[in-house]
Amino acid sequence: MPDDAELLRSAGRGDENAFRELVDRHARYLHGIAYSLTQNPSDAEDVVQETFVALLKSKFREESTVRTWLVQILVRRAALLRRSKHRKLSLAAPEEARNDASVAAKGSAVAGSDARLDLAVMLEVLSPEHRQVIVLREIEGMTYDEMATALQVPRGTVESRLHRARAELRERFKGYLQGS
Amino acid sequence: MTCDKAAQIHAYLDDEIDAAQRGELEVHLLQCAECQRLLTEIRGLSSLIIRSSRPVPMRAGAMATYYGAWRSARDRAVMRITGWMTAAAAVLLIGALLLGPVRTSPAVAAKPKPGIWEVMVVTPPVETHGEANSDLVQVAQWMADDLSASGGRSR
Repeated sequence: MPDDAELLRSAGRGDENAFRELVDRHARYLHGIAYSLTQNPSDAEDVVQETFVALLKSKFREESTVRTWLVQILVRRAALLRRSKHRKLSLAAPEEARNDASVAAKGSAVAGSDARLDLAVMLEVLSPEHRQVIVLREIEGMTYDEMATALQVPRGTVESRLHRARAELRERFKGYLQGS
Repeated sequence: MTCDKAAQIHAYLDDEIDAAQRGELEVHLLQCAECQRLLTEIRGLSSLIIRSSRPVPMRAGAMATYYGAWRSARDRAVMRITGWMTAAAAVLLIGALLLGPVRTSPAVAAKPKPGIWEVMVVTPPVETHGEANSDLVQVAQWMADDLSASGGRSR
């Protein structure tokens, strides 16, 4: 069975079946990350489709696995989508979303650790950079090196972002952590 | 956080340190309440994130959309090439208009220009211009003399 890199080369030479095999192998994984980053099924689908289009147009330099390279493309596409959506929204809207999440977080302290918390609420309080590292590490289980490759930042930056993101979540969701 | 080992707790939990560092940190954890608390909190946070994440909904037709990326990429490539060709054609057209023959007024344009062969037939070669003129003058002189002689006889 050909590996991902071979399939990618075949797809680049015009083999549609090789491309479909790559989609079969990675679509669900990428969709999971895209959904965690966008928190919207339609946006997630757009981002994954754009990632597969980019797969056919971009050059894979074999500096990582194909999967990590795809995550790299996907994270960039999700960030672009987020920026374009923010431009369209009024400045007040994101602030409202943050406030809502903040209210949910405050409520959590009262509700205690039995309350059901939605991941979307947790991620909403984070900046895009902090959200990326939490999704890739905590949900997808990527290593620091894989994250550094996917996010195209040094490993040290990944670590500092992860520390800050965790610190922020610990602070905001204290109520849920008691008794965890 | 005041303990200088606190930063290593994340790497410890994420299995990103080697065995020697791991052993050293585990000894430290036995003595440092602050690092113990941090470790418990980060563990709790990881478990909270996993508990809070729900199965990701994926539309039934999503895979067909992803397979469709093949056609989208191809269509975009065709559109890109078409765009380049259109731009190149536009540049050529503009260049031709700017560098082409200067337009003349309609009156001048209406008058047909003589063909090059006509000009060559009526124009003597450049190097014989002088000789041709002197020949003509000579012929004209002879004709004048002849006419005046004949005119004189007729009178």
